[in-house]
Amino acid sequence: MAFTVTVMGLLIFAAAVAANFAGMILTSTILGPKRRNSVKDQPFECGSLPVGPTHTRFHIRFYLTAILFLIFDIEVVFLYPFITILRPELGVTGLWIMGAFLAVLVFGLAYEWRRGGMEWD
Amino acid sequence: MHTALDSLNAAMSAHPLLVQALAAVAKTVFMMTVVMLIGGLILSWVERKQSAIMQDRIGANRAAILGVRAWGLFHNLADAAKGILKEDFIPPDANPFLHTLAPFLAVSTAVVAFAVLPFGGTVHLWGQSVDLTIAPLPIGILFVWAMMGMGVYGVVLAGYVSNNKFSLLGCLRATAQVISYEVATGLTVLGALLFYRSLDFRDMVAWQMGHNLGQVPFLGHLPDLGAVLAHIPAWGVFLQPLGFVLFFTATIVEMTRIPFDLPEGESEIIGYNIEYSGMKFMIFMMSEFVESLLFAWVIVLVFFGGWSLPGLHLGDGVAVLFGHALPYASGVALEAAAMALKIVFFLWFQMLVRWSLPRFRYDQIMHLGWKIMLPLALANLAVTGVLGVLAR
Amino acid sequence: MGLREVLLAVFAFGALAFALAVVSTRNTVYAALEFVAHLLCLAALYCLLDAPLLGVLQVMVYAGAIMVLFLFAVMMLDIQETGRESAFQGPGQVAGALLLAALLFALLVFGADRFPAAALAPAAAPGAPGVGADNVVRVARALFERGALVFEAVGVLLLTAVVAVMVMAKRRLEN
Repeated sequence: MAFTVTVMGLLIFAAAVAANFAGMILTSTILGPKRRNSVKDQPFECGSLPVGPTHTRFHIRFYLTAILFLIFDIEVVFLYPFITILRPELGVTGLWIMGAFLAVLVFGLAYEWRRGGMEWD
Repeated sequence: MHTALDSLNAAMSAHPLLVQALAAVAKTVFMMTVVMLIGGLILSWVERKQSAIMQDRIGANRAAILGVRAWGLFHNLADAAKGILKEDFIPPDANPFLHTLAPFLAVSTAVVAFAVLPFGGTVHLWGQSVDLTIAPLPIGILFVWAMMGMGVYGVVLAGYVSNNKFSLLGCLRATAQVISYEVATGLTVLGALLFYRSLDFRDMVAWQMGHNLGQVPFLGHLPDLGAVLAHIPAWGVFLQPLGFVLFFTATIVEMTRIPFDLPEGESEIIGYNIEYSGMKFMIFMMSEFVESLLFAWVIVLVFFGGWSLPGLHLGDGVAVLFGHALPYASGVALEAAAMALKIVFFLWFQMLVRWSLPRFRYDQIMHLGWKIMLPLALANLAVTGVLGVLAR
Repeated sequence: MGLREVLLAVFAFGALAFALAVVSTRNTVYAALEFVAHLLCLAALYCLLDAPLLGVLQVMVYAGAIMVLFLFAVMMLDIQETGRESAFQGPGQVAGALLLAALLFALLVFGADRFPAAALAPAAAPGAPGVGADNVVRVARALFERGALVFEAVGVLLLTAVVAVMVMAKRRLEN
């Protein structure tokens, strides 16, 4: 039962958090004034004239970062269960297993570095 | 009176689930109060006052209730009232639902992460053991990272639905910065976790309380130092000094505070939240303070021994402080105070950093994350792992 | 029916409802968010079934990394403006979708008890105290003792992904 109780506690907390912040936003929506006019409704674009559509293409680097994050995130995720049994159970074998895995990924990191995948100038 | 108490006791003993449910509600109320008070009110006051002291100004001091100014504390109440009463402006081309969902997601994911942070050990009520953690998940630290990952949606949505090129650009920059450092945050704690061999915060604190540096593999084997080291508690910061410095830096980037506050850059660059006003804008600001508290708490649990106080030992109903017996209750109170003081120290230290350092450039942040922090964290982990295994 | 069964039913229903919403919503951003909600329901199911590690990794990797990438793609292409057609076009697509769903269902019904779940199954009764903590260590053993070779293969696969990403992005970076 203990674990179900844990999930129940989490759900009660999450519900309280959701109700609290939904309530804060809702109260301000109800109590705040609503005075629209045509100038206020224009996108203010930090003082410059709006040109072209909002959703234009942006630089490939952002995708590159997102994809690389995904790859290295998976690497980190493997390390978390690994550290719980490295010293008591796996020992030197574990060092070889993770060493080979990390060496492959460090090679990937070095390749990406050399090809300029991490340049932001 | 006694009969009422007796029937309460009988009812509680008969329904273990009721005890747990009531405990869950009580823990929720406690945690929400702590987060809303510190993250919502006190930290923004500390930020104003501390910057004022550091810059030799007076700082916020005008707001008063019946002539009582209380060092400007009421400014935050005034701010909250102002946020509620301001116009909630939604740009005409923005989707109102998603525009509202963004700040909600940003703050609630950060607050839900507190569910796995323990504020004490275990207490016994009506024959039930109740953990002083809302959700004592065995994968606690991963839960915090998962919630940090979910927080990105608030930023992405805010930038996307605002229908403004500058918020879109701001959100792309913010997302790329935050996700880059999620890798570094995840890697830098691993060295300390190698010692604790658990992903549960309670196990981490228990390990740090139960060991001293003389018992640590490798360090304890050093010939002359062993006896001296036996007097130092095995806190994560002593085991992993580099890991701690890297982790502390990565968390400041994660919560996007100065010197890494490019997502907001309030003074000159424009962030993802420019099309937000009133309460929604304040909630974005608040999520930053909530994250400060979250990371201060995580740092204390992982690197500074949680509620452990050197010299204090709590046994079965007895407390001993440097050989002197204390009432058990005062021992528990001392532990709670030690934990609170450590967290307050790190909140103060985060503020100190925030008001001392100038902002980095964007390319410098990405360079630091991928080319310095990531290789250093990997090297730190490799050295710790090899030494730990060979000297076990 | 205990608390555990009630929660399982609630999250199973939620997962199904959000999955249906993902394939039937036209707005891509909404569909992506519904997919995240679906993943959260699945994570809760895993937690209730004494596999908290799987549950939290589901949120970290799928919801926290893969779906962010999806949203990036949606934001750049602004598919919301182009994809105004209905999600299902014509009876052929509906029939195909139903056929696939039936196949998947059959696979689950007939294949479920052939899955070697014993290795990962908790030692104690489901939901007993301490089962969750055991989960991480058991997954680690399965992964690094019996599955070490597969694990190394995953490393090579990830390396391939890094190289592929760089090759694809290289032309754009040089412009």
